Amino acid sequence: MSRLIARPRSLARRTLLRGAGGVLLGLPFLESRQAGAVEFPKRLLIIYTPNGGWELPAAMDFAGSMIQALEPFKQKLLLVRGLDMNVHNTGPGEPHQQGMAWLTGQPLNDGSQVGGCGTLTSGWASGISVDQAVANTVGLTTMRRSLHFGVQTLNYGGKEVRTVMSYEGSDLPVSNEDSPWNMYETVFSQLGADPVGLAELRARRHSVLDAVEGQLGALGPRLSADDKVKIDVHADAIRKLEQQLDNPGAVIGGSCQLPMVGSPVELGQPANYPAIGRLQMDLLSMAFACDITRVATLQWSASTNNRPYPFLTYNGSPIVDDEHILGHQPDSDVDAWGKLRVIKEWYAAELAYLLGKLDAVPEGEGTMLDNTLVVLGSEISRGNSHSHMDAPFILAGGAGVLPMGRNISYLPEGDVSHNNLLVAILNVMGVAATQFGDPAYCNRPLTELWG
Amino acid sequence: MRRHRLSALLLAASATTACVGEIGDDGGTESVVGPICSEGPVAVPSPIRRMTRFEYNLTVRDLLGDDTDPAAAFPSEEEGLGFNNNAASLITNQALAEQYMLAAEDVSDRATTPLSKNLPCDPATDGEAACAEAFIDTFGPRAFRRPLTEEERAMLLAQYDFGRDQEDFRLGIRMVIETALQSPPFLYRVELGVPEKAINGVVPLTSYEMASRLSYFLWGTMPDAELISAAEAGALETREEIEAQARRMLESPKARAVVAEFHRQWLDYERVGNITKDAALFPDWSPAVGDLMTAETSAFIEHAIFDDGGDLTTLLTAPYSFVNEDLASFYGLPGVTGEAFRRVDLDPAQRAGLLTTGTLLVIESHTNQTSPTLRGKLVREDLLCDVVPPPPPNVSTEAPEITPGSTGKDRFAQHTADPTCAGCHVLMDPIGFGFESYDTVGRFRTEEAGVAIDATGELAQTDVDGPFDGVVALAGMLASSDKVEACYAKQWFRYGYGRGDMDADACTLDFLANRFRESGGNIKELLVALTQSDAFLYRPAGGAP
Repeated sequence: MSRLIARPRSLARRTLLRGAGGVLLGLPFLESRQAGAVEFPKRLLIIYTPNGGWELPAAMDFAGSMIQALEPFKQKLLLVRGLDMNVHNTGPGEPHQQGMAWLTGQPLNDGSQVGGCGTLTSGWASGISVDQAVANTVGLTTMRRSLHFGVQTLNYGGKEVRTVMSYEGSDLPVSNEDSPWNMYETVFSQLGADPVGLAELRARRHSVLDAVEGQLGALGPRLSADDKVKIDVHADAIRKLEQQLDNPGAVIGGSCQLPMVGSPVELGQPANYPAIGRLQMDLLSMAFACDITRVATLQWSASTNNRPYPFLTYNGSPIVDDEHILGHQPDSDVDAWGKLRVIKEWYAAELAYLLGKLDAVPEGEGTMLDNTLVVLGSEISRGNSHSHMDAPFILAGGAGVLPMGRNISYLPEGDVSHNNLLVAILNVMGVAATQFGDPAYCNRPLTELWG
Repeated sequence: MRRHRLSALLLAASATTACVGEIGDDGGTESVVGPICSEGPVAVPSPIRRMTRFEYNLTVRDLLGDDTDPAAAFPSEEEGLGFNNNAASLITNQALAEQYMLAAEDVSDRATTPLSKNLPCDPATDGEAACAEAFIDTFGPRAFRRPLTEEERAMLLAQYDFGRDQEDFRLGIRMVIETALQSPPFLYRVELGVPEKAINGVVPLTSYEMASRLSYFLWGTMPDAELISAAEAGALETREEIEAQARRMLESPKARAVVAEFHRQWLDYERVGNITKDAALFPDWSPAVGDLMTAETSAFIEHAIFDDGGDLTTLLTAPYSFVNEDLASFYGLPGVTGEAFRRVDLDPAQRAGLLTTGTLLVIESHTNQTSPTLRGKLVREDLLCDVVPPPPPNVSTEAPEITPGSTGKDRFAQHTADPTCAGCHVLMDPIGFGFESYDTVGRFRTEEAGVAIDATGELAQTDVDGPFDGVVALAGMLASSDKVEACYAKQWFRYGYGRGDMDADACTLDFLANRFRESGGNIKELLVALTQSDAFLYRPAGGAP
């Protein structure tokens, strides 16, 4: 139906951009490179796949494992096993809801959102997520503080706790953009515009937003305390938007080229999942290459994902089963777990595609991937236990900080909370912190990550 | 606690721990505690309301003739209590503020192409400055749905000057439009009431505020000229004046869009277009069939309410539906040709209104079999407004394995045989068993796996308890239930007022249920009643406490 179809907002603008399709659009680091002092930015990319189920090899030999497709990037990977998302064993909600707060390291708020298993309810997350905490530091000088790519994350109809993972703060979820076409329009539409026109547009936007902010400021004090909170959030959003307007846009040239997105397809159809995912990854890597943003998330579907994978086959037949139900089956159900393995192998191949994109952009002696910290996780570790314990994480790139090509296991040690990984992410990205989320779960610095 | 900041306002609601609780309070018809209604209006929340995407699209259509649905690109609303217009959930974060900005720029472009499209004057003959002022004086009050203050008028004029100085008259007009469309009085329904008329801590709304309340409640868009004229004349103050407007508005086609939107969200049936089924068992199912079913359900609801009986009983029991050739062929209905949907009379022994509409039967099923639990839960939660608590931890909630010769009733029997499950499942499965005559993709069947269908079930913990055989019988019982009537009214309360009900709303809910019952369950009368409650007519006095 129409709500699922991406609509180009402005055909005129789109056509203009398409016309400029072959033009090189940005080389953000050209100047510094010419000056001889090459300082490439660190980026953070957080990836989510649904329903857990990652089984990582215990050694750096991927042959025969579900991540065999990542073999070419072995030297740029860091596999981390045995961390516990035990903070999410607490608080409201069912496990698929609770685990979607994995980037916040705090329990969910109370609320009436119904979850995936049974009818347990929860609210939104109760604090800022790590990507936003990083964006608040490293995202201040780019066109975008952060970008949030979704692939069919809105399959329950509306936005709820299982469809988002990024939060500006308690009860402040950050939406994913599920449409590559909208993302293209919003993010890339200014690239290639003439500088004079862009400066004038910026001035007009400031004029309008200043007027809006003035009205919000006058309105707030006349309202009830509850309503004032909302008006204050709006005013804060306007200030951030104004700040974003002043940040420099991407510069034309080099690795920064206008992505091609083609014609919109139905966003909700399971068969379109791979195509939409590829487009989002293309846009994401270009957003990094053009230095449009340094912080991004990529969310594959919503948690509890109860969708089929009809584009994959198991024993010669398309996988038309509900992934969530497959995950609930006992370990003895060979077919269910066989299908889930095919699905995970596919996600590993998609990750390889994205890493390949990032790795194809040269930066100094290395590549853009080397300057990026990639972290992949899920809301639970395994479908038929719904456990948050012993959760595997795939790290890649290392952002020039972490020695890669390694495999670390915290399994023997027992309860090591994943909050410590969130702290490590902040530290790798240059944000000083010893705690993140609930401090009670930040008791074990992951020094092993640094070698 | 900090954790409850927005959620707490969002929903004065939590599931109770008993096996059946009601969302919100016990505001049904048998309430024995709570405020005494004759004491006059009490202060209940009346939160500031931000436009939804649905309302934004309709408003720019009516304000500037822009029918491109620009809000389609906005982030989707956060849902609360099943509806996406819960005021406490609707905040404006950076992503949305940016989309407002981009949409306003596109809308202003279209609104000034050609330049004369929305202008009340000609800058060439009337002079640019005079024409800009004339535009602000006509467009501004329409955008803000009330007269502009002096400050607002000066602010819009300054925006015009900015654009005019940068380029030309048209850009100046565009700046006025862009600013207005991002301004709080456009995006929000800001209500301060009439402080001089405060009683018991509440104030009546100004006539302009009432015009917007009525308009967004019944039309999902800005007031029309007649409402604004009434507001100018101060003629939206008495119950009678407001009722007369509500009745007029319900006869407009614009009311149909809102009634459709309510039902789409209440039953959440449009997601049938995303549903997949086991292709080996249901090879002719596809999401495209689901989209046809969505059109079927929408057409049925509109017809039942606006073109047929207009009452809840019709909605729950009418034995007809709307299909086109493709959908008729899917259902096995003969004699329907062409793409257009048309009314077909169905076997009244097989089909009864909403309960047997394809969308809901398909959604509340598993991929490979029906789910008496989910179907029963739909009735229990959406029609009876009960809340079924979650299953205990460590219990599998998977669809049972299909063994040869087993029926849905066999497979789900364990729920009611096992005492740990039965406590709650007895409230769902025995209702759902009545639906066994409809397969996983919504078709009528008389047998499953070679065994004749047993569609007997039982309704418990309602005001119409008892055994029944099949959904047609169930629908008749539900249609006679005061509890169902009160629940339907409560759902409209939540949607219409954009908030969850709370203890202090008991009187209003009683009032609505009574008026609804007295009208014989007439849905338009319920909507009129919703404009007559104290909660609609008053708001808490004062702003900041």
